[in-house]
Amino acid sequence: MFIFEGLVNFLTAIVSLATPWNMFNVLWATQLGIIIGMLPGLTATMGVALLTTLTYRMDSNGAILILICIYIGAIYGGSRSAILINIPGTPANAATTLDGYPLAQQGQAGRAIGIATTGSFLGSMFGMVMLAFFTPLIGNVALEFQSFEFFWFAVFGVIIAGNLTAPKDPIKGWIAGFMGLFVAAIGMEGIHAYVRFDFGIADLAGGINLIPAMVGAFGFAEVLTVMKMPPIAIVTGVGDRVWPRLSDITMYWRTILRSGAIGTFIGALPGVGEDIAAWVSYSAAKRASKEPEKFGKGSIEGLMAAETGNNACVPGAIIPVLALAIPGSAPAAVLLGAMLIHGVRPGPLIMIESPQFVSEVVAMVFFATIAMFVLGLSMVRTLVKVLMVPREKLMPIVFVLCAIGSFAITSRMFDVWVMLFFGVLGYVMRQMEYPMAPLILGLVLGDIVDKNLRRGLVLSDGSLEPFITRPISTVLLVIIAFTILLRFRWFQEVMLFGKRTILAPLNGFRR
Amino acid sequence: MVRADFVSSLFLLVFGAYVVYDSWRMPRFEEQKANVWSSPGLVPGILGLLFMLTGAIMLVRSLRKGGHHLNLTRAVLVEALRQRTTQSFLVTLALGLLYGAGMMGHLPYPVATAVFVFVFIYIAEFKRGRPIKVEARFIGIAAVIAVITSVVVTFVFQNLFLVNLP
Repeated sequence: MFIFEGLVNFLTAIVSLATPWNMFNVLWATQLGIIIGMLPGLTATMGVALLTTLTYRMDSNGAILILICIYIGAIYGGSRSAILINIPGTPANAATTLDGYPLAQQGQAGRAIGIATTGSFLGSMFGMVMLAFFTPLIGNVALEFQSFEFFWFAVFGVIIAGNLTAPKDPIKGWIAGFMGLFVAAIGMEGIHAYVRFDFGIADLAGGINLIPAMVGAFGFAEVLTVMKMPPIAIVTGVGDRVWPRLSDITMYWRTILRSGAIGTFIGALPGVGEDIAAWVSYSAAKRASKEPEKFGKGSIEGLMAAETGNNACVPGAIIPVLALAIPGSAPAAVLLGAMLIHGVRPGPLIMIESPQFVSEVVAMVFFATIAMFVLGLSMVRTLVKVLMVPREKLMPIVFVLCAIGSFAITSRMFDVWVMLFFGVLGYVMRQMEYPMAPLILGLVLGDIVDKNLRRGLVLSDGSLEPFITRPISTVLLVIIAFTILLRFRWFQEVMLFGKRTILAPLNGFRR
Repeated sequence: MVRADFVSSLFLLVFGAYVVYDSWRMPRFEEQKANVWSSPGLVPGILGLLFMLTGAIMLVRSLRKGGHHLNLTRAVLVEALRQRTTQSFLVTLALGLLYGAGMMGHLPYPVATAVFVFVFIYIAEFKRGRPIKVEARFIGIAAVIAVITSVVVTFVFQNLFLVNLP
C-alpha cells in the first residue's frame, strides 16, 4: 500500500514537472553541470552554490530542479577529466582516475566514458529508489525526535564528517567543523535575540549568510587554488566507441548493486560526501573481485564501482536533507540552504506539511539522471574541447560570477566581503590540510546545535540524563565517543588488548 | 606541515581563549527569570573550550616534531616569492580583493568588471619578450573577453534577475 501510494505520487510529480520549460532547464542545467564537473578546480559544491545565486528569483521547484541537475551533472562530469587528463574534475572522481586514465592510455577512452556514464546512471537510479523509499520512513521516525536527539544528530554529523574527510588527521576535520559551528553562532541568536560576536560591525548582527560563505569557500578558494596549479599538459583524444556494451554492464551487476548500496548509505551519513563513497565502493569492489590484480591498470569493474558509488551518493545525500534538514554532503548543504531561501522547510515535518515535495525531488533526480545519461553519451568529442579552455581566461569569469552572485541575494556589498573572507580562509585551510566539508556542515548545523542543546537543558533543568539515557541519544553518543576515541593510540591498544583477552580462551579451545 | 600546525595551534589557543572570555561575559537574562541554561554564551563557550583543547593537542604534537622551528629567514621568503605558483596566487588574490572590495561599489559595475577581466587575463598570460604582433593579439583577445563578460553579466543580472547592480 505504502509502495503503491509512493509510486502514484512519483508519477504525479513526473507529470507535473514535465513541462517544456522545465525540460529545457533540465537539459541546459545538466549540461552545464557536466561542464563544471569536467573542469578541474570547479566542483559540484561551487556549481550548486553559484547557481543558487542565479536562480533565487525563480519559483522554488524550478530553482531546485536546476540545482539538482547541476549537482548530478557535475559529479558525473568530473569523470571526463579523470579519464582524459588523469585529473579528477571534482574530488568525487579521484578514484575514477585509477582505472579510467589507464583505459584511455590503452586507446579505450570512449569505452571508459561509456562505462563511467552507465555506472553514474545506474548509481543515481539506485540512489533515487532509496531516496523515495527511505525519506518517508526516516521522516516518520524523526517525528519522535526531541531536542536531545537533534542535538546529537548535528554533533554526529560534524564529528563523522570531520573523521572521514580528514582520514590522515581527523582532529583537523573536527576543528573545521567546530569553526563552522562558531561562524553559525555569529549574529542574533534565536532564543533571547542577543547579538553575539558582531565585533561592532552592524552587518554582522544579521549573521553570516550561508550562500556567500559557500561561494567563497568553494568558489574564490578554488580560483586561487587553480591559478596556483601547473597548467594541464595533454588531453587524451577519444577515438573508440562510446556506447557501452551490454556485456560490460551485465557482467558486473553485483558490483553495480554493491556500489549503489554503499554510495547511498555513505551519502545518507551527514557531511561525508561523494569522494568517500567512491573510494569505499572502489575498495569494496577490489576486495570482492575475481580479478583484483587488474585494479589500477584499467579495470572496467573498478571504474564502474567508483562511478556508481559517487553518483549513488547524490540521492543518498538528499535523504537526510529532506527527512532531518541535515545535509549528507557539501553540495547537499548548499541545496539545503537553497531550499530554505525558497521557503521550503525540510525536516521531520515535511511528510506532514508538504509530502508531495519529497516525490517532486525524486522526480527531479529522475529527470536529471536521464538527462545526464543522454548528454553523457552524446557530443563526447565536442566536449573534450572544454578541457582545452585556458584557466587564465576562465577563472576571472568564474570570479566575477562569485562576486555578483553573492551580491545578488540581498543586494549587500557585505555579502561580497563575506565571500572574499571565506575564499581566503578556505584557501589557507586547504593549504594547511583542513577539509572544507565539515566547516560548511558546521555552518549549516550550528543553529540546530545551539538551539537544541539549550532547549534540551532547559527542558531537563540542567540535567544531562535525557541526553544520555534516551535510546537514540545513547546510540548516537556511543558512536560519537567511539569515533573520537578510536583515533587515539591508547584506546586502540585497550581495544586490541580486550579483543585478545576475550578471544584467548577460544584460541586455546581451538588448539 | 608541522610548522603550519604549530602556527594554527597557537591561533586556536588564543582564539579559543577569546571566545570563552566573550561567551562568559554574555548576559544570562536571570533578571528576566530566564533559565540559566538558555544563556546565549553556552554553546560558543563550549566551542571556545574545544578550540583550546584541540589547539593544545596540536601544539604538543607539533612541538614534539619540531614545528616551532619556523625557519622564516629572508632567503626562504625570497625563494618562495620567486616561485611562479606563488606569484600567480598572489596576483589572483590581489586582483580578487581589489575587484571585490575596491572596485565593486565604487566604479560603475560594467566598467569595474571589464577592467578586472581584462587585467586578470593580461597579467595571467603575460610573458616578457613577445613580438609586438603577438602582444597585440593577446591584448585584443583579453579585451574582447572582458567586454563580452561585462555586457552579458550586466545584462543578465540587471534585466533578467532584476538586481540593482552595485
